[in-house]
Amino acid sequence: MLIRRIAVENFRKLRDPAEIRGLQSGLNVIVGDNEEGKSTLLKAVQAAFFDRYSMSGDAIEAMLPFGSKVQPKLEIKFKIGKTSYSLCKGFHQSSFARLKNAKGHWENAAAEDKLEEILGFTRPGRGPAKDENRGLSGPLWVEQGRAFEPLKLNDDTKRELDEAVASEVKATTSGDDGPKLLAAVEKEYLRYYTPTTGAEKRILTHQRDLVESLQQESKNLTEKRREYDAKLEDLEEIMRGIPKLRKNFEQAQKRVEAARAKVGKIEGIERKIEAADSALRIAKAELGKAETSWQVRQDKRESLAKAKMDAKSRDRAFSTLSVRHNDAKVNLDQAKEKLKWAQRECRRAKLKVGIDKLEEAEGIAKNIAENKVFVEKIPITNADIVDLRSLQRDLNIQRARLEAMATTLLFSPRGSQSVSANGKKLEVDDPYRIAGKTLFELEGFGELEVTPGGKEEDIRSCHSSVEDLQKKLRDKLDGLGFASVEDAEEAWGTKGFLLGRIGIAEAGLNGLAPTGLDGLRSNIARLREDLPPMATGPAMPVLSVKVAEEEERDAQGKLNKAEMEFAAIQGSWNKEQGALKQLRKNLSKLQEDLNTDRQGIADAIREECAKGAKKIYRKRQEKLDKVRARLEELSPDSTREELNREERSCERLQNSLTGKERREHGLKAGLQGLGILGLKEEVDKKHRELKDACMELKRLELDASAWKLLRDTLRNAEQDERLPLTPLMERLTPYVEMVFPDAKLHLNKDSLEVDKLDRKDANEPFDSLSIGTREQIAVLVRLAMADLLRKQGKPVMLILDDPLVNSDDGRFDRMACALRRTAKHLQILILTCHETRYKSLGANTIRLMKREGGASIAELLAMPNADGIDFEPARLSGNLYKPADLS
Amino acid sequence: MSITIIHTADWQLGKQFGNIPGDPGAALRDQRVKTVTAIAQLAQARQADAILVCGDAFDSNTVAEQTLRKMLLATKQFSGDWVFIPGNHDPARAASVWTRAQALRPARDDVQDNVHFLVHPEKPLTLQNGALAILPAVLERHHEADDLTAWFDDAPTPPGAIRIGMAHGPVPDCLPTDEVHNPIAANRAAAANLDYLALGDWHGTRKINDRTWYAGTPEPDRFGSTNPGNVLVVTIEQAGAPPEVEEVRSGEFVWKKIEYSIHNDADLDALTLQIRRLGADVNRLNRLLLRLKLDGIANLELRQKLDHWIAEWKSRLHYLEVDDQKLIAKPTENDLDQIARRGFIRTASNRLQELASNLENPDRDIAKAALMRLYQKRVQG
Repeated sequence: MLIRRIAVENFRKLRDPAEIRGLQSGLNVIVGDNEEGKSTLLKAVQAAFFDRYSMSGDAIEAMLPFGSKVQPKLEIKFKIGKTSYSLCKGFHQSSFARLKNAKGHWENAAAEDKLEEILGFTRPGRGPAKDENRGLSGPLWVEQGRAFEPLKLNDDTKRELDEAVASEVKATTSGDDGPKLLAAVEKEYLRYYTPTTGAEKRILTHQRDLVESLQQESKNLTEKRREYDAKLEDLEEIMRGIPKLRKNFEQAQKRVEAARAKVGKIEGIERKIEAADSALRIAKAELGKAETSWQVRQDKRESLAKAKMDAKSRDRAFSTLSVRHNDAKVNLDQAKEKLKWAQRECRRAKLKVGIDKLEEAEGIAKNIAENKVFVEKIPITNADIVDLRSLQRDLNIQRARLEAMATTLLFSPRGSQSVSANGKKLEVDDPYRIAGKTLFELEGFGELEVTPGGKEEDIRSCHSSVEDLQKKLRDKLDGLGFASVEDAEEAWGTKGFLLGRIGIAEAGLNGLAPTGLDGLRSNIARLREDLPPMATGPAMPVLSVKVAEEEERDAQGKLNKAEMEFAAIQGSWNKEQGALKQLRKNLSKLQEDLNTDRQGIADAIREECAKGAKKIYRKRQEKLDKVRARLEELSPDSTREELNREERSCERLQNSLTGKERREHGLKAGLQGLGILGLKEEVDKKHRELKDACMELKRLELDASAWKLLRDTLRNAEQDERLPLTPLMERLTPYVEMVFPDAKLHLNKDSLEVDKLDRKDANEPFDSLSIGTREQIAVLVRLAMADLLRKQGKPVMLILDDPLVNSDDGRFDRMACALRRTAKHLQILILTCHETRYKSLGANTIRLMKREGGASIAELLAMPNADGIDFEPARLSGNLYKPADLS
Repeated sequence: MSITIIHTADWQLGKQFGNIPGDPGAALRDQRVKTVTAIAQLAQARQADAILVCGDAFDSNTVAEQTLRKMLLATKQFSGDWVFIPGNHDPARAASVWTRAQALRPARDDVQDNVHFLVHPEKPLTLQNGALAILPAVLERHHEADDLTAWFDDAPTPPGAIRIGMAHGPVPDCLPTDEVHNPIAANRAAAANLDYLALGDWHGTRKINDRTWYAGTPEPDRFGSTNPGNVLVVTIEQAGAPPEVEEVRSGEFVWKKIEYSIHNDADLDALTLQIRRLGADVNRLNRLLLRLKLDGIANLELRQKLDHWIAEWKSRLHYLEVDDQKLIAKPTENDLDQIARRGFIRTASNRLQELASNLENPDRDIAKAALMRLYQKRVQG
């Protein structure tokens, strides 16, 4: 593929019409400064070839120049093989697509269909084309800054690569030999396996089933053979054992006969024993009867004798018991008398005590009465004494106040002179208080007027209170008949004392006679009434109550004891008396019964009968013993046991012999039947068949496995061969050696992406390499791929937008060699802003230059050589590149 | 009175030849009965007085009824006496081929009066009006520890009768075998004053002493036997006279073994020549059974030639058994180049060669076979 001319108008930043002409085969370097539209130019070429002219929406918006709604137009003139094409597309409003060559032209959808056909790509459904929609150009037209990215193949590229590789494979496998061989081997394989699942066919499964079936049959036959051998062993064992068994049986029969004869003799004796035993039993019955009768008579006699003895013994015992019974009764009566005495003495004692108490109580009662009379003569009461004490206390208080306020005078005349105050004679040596102005007449002296200090009124009031109180006290004392409070207090004390004594006496009286003197007297009268009359005789002194009560308790205890003893002996006495009566009754009955018996048969006759029966019995017993002794001599049990044993043994032997003979016949017949089957031959035959089948199976399995392995190996090898990896590597290796001497590049066989780079000192994954190395490798892979595709006639050319910006100078130079190598056979457009770097390539270099006021693209197309705003090819002197195959 | 007997043994009737598959095996089985008929015809032709069959007439006590009947039918070809003793393959047990044969006697005419089954121990048989006394050693079990011929020493026979002993078992120290069961004293003939001791068990014809012989099997039945396929025609002029023993060929088939190394085409040619010579010796190649054991190293080309060679000779011989386990197939570079010099077919052949030569690969035989098939497909088309 060769692009000759590119014209752009209203496309992104290339708003004005722009055109690139003079593009040649081989290397073309388009140089421009930043922001001049190099990358836009690549996008314009991509849009012209791969974007649908009718697309709309965001994709169109992205195409439009900023802030403009004009129609983007693109035109490209290109050549595929020997055919030149002119492609023109207008987007957005009144969109169109036109493609024409020398033979015809196509409009709109037809134009895009034709493009798809000649370039081999798949158009996008909607929206702008992506890498996967750009066919071979997807991986080969590299946008700026993506050169180092791994190669990503779209489906169209893969298909084109596969076609290219298929042609190569065909060329290296002698034409159609490979497919023929594969088909032939497949045919052999299909003899054994199904084509779809690879399952084994009947030829194998049938043989395997046959082997299994034969194994089972062989096993069955072998089992039958073993059965035959086992039966034969059995038969021989039986045949060896039968003669001995028969001999044992005959011997056993003889032993049975001998035992039977001995048992016959025993049975005769046993019959005799039976007869003797029967006679003995009769004699025994007679004996029993006679002895019983005699024994009954004897028993009656003995019973009578014993009853008589018992009666005597009982009589004696009853007499003794009667004495004891009387003694007990006497004791009881005495005890009763004693108790009666003690009770009377006790009452006497209590009567005396009562009388004493009454006397004492009466004395106390008299004393109380006297004291009460005396008390009644003392008039003062508790209220009186309280009043007196109150008055006295008030008086004392008032006096104390008066003394405090009044002036006290004490007259102590040397002689017998008297003193009077206010006309009243004063006692000498007796203090005298004055409450107001007082006129003293001092005998022998004259008068003396004394006026005490303080308020006179208070003193007078106080004095008045004292006098008032004194008067009240005096009146009270006078009323009570006492001279002073002290007398009253004394009288009150005496009265209290007497009242206390009266209280004590009353308590004592109450203790002696709680019910009063009358109650006490009534008790005494009752005691006197209850007192039994005294026995005649001298009067006994009265005991103390305590002693009397002691006597009573003692008498009561003795009475209780005597009563118990009497009651005990009374019971025995009554019982013994009853028994004695019964005994005497029985005795008379026994006597009567015995007498009745004797009237029938006398004792002597009865005794003689018993003796006779016993004699007969002994004789018969002796006879029986003799016969039994004879029987014992013959050991009947062991003899019968022996006979039984021998009979059973004989029967067992007979059964065993019969069984073995039957078994012998059966085994012989069975073996005869099995022998006829020819088991050995059948077993051998089956083994042979099995061996044959196993060998055939082994042969088939080996053949099948060999064909399968051969088929799989061939297919795998062929598939590996079909992968693009090999031819791609063949083309890539020289490039790699050119740029990375002594290094080996590894590609993924399916994705063709670079796995790693093996170098002498390192084995580095692609992702670990520097960006510069990665972009160099990525460019080399694209060069090799373009080589491969071009060789198979695919429409390829390379567009690289600043691909080696990260390469150092050395690598750049080596990469330049690689580019030149590729450019010998196909067109490469390099877009760059590094003009000087690419000078060394000697490439067709075109510089982008902007001009003012250019014509529209339609005008340019109409004027192919006109100059508008265009990009003039800058031809470097001496560096023009003219590829030999430029057509 | 001169007595002529046919001494034979080890017919092994009913033997299946499990290692010989298909028609060749069937032919071998049929041939054994035919050989009995041939023996009967020989006896008839030589006007023999008796045919002594010294054990193992049958391969087993459980041979098929048909086999038994075929044998009895063959006995009708000779009107003289047939004397059979049991062998270790067909001992006279409580139930055996002999009891079955006896059972046929009263009911039918399958068993003629001139056919004698000596199955009771230490019971001599007198024939030819007392001129011939047969002393049989009767095996009642497969294996006996004692010499069953010991009773011959004191066995009375009619005065002047020719005493012939019949036994089945090895004569210790006289045979290249370690077998110890059913021993027979080497000097029994002398000790028992026998005119001839007819033995069975050893499958090759073999003379022990002037009066003691193994007849061998009349029809070879295995690879490796020495001088099988004969019967002995024994003539004794009178009691005490030395027996005249004639070895008469009776076998139809020849069994041979060859061990051979193959390394190149010349070796294969030499082998071909050797087999041709062998065929000339046995007269008829289609009666030859050959066990071929090969070793050496063969490339794919030679191996393919050998396979063709084997296929060809299998069709020419009665039976060819090839054991090539030790013949190593080793493809050469030339072999691989013949398959393909380049391309995926060469890749595949290289991979198969790698699998085939890897001793640790359990499927290397499959890889060898696959490589051989690839070679054949590429070379032969």
